[in-house]
Amino acid sequence: MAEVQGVARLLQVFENQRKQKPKELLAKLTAAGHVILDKANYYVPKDTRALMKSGRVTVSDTTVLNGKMEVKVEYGGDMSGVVLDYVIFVHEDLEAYHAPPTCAKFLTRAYRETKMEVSKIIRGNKIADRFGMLTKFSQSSSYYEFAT
Amino acid sequence: MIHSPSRIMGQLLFDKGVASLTAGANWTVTVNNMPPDAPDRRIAIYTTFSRTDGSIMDTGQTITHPGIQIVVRGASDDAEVYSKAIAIQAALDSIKKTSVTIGGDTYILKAFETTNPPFFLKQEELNLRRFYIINGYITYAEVN
Repeated sequence: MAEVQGVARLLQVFENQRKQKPKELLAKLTAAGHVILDKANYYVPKDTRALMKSGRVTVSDTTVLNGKMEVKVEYGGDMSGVVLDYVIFVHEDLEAYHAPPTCAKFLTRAYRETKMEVSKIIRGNKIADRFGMLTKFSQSSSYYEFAT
Repeated sequence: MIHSPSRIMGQLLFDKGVASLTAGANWTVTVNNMPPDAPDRRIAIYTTFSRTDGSIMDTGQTITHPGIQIVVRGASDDAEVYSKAIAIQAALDSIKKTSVTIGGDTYILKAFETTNPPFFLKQEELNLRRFYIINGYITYAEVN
């Protein structure tokens, strides 16, 4: 009969990690988000600069709830009562002219160009390795975000 | 001749029966351009930023996955435009070592990685045409 030992110990390790507050990782994620934002601010169209000013990095730590930690790089949305709802048009319209180096797909481009640096920041962290960090890029109708 | 990823994708959608390559017909594919004139029902395919994926040690060739944006434009009927976008998405999902031939050149499309399924972009104020967009990356190789 096969027997697996150490399951209780393994579960305890998982539980300890879930409860842990990895502040260092939060700092790394914030730094990674700002690397992307800085690059995106270079490419974002600046006709009125409203879009650039709406760029932000937010980090949410819900590791206690679901083991998830997330950093978002966003543009547009509700900015103190002023809703910038046109970011998706600027980002996705590939035929609109923007004075170089600004361009459409500014956040996608920034993410692509900084991916190695972001990866270094995150994966250089042993805590991040332990959490098996994955990166993804997603979007909604009102804002763009990079999440990890 | 080397064809752009947009052109190859256009041929694929034609082969799959979800797009036309005949000028003036409905759901005609245009490459890196969305003509503003009629017909309303058009599909524009753009090549966007590529994703690199390491290199082959033997040859040094860098593996790249060209970014693709597919814009579906239709009349004011949202259901019609969305249905077309969904049909295109289904065609993209069915890619599996799919062969595409343009003139005498053959390409093998290995996969399409969708980063965003069809989403509504906008409706024009003047003529109410509606736009849906699909974003993703294509993996393909030219057959020598």
